Amino acid sequence: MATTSFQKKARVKINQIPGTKPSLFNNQLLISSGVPSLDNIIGGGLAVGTVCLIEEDVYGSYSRLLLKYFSAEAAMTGHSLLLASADQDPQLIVKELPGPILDDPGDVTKGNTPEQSENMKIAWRYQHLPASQAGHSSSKFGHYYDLTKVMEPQLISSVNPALVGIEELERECKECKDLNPKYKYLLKRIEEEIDRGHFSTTEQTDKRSILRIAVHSLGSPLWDECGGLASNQEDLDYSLPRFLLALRVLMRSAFAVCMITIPTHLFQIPGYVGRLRKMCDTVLHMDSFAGSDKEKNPAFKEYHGLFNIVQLPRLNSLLCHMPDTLDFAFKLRRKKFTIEKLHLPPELSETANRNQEDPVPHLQPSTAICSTTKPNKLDF
Amino acid sequence: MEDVNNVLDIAKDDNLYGEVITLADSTADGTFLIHHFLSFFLGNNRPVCFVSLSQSFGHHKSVCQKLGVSLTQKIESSHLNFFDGLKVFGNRFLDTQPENVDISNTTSLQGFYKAIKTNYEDLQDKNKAPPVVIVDSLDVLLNIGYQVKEISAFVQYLCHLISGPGCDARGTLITFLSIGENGLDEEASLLWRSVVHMSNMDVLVSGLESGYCKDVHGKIEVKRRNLLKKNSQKTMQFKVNDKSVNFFASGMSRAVLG
Repeated sequence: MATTSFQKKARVKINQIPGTKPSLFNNQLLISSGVPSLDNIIGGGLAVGTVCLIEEDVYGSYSRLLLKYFSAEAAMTGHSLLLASADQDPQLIVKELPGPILDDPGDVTKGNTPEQSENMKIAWRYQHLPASQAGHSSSKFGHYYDLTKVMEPQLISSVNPALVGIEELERECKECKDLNPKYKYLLKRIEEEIDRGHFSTTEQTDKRSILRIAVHSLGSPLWDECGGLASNQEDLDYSLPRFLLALRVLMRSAFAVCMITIPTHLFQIPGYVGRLRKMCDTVLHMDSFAGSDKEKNPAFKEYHGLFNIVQLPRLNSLLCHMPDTLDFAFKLRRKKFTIEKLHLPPELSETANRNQEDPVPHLQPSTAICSTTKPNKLDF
Repeated sequence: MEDVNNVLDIAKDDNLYGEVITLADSTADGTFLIHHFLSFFLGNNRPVCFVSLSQSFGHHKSVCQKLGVSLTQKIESSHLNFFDGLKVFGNRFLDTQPENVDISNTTSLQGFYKAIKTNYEDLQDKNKAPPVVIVDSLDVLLNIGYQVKEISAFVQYLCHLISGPGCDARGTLITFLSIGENGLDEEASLLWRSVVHMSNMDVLVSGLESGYCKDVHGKIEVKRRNLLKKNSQKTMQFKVNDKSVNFFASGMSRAVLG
């Protein structure tokens, strides 16, 4: 039978690198951040060659969780990983990576095989197509994780993560005039890692992979950062923006993605955070309710914090991905961390007392009312 | 991108000899203006000396491809000189010993200016026409530690460069600068004011006061210092599309009216 011209146009180059997909907007190669709900709202995922900045929540617990997801995704897709932290032992972070939820797609395809061998009588045109998207199962884009479990050590050791801890930073850093020595050393390590794994765009390798760089709490006091102030507390210290510029240069010429968390709430100089944002590509802001009044606010009772998109990268196009809204909220369930659109709950209770309604009681003459009953809504 | 020309009051074949134009953005993104000017001048066969401090060549190449100009061809025909400032300044903080240390000197922008000057004169000789200098993001210089007075002196030097002898007409200078949110960054605002002072025309792109909107990306304010032209000031709202930008009067977006 002659085949019709109606065939699905197959691209010759399909996803040569595991765990990546091309963007629908600008053909940029994307990788998953490890949280599928986050990938969705930032336009599919993190573009290869970019730096993602996460502005930490006050206690840093949720931003650390995002970093763990990002690192866990490396183990699942076989990407290389470099993890640096001065605040916490990177060994410990790696040990605490969440365990993946494997829906075991292998069994599903096996079950389908007897059906496939039959000749299709009606939808015969689809016969040559695979029953399901087999082959992608192991390297599919974005995984779900179970926070109650930890990842098996052999899965982590399979990607052989490079870890940079505080002892190494203290030991190895050398005096540097232009840059904070610890940043300098981290840049050197990233450069070495790119060389070692042949991630540079100029190098030709048979087996291309992606380097994921996760930097925890960069710019915290343990990195010797004073939030833009120099050690004499008068002059400005430009180390952090300089570091980010150099990092951008490294990223742009490598198959690598960097995710940094910075405790921006520690920085006091006005406009300094704005400058740091400009030096990164994707900027996300986390604001946890822990310890603030919002924790008890009934409007936010479903969520654990607010999540804002501050900046999205404009890459190879005039336009960046424009989501419907930039304001989201995150919640942490027992097993899962999700980011959702912020919805206020419906107002059901009779005795609702919102801030906007406060002015109304003031209008009533205070002398006339001696009773302790609350003002009824029907009073006017 | 003809709409952008209409808003800026620039004719299709305008040469803009001797003009100094300052582009700035605050809360919204204004980089579409750079790409507009880059493709506009290259389309009009003006030689362009493009200094990119914030993005790589690949990015500019892809965007200009969409706007119908091939940067690689323009480089081959020596209409375009691309100065990869991102690499030059970034490499200074990496271990790789850069060849051009004096360009990215921490204390002075002299070397950087000289490098641009060489490129400029080279372009002028080859094309027998006054080139355009486009500097993408002066704020990168500010971020990595150059002082406001150094950068404004640098812009002053560039203004002098384009009005220099060598051709009948003068060149054109276009600088871009991100001034951050609501004037929070005092240094950036100061730099912007001093650069605007040197220019004939300044364009400011800012976000909407009411916040983010998917269908209206921001507003654009165009000011001209040339009093002979009537419309010296103009404010419009805009929406960036894949290959073009739509402009409309404030509040007259199709999304609002429809």
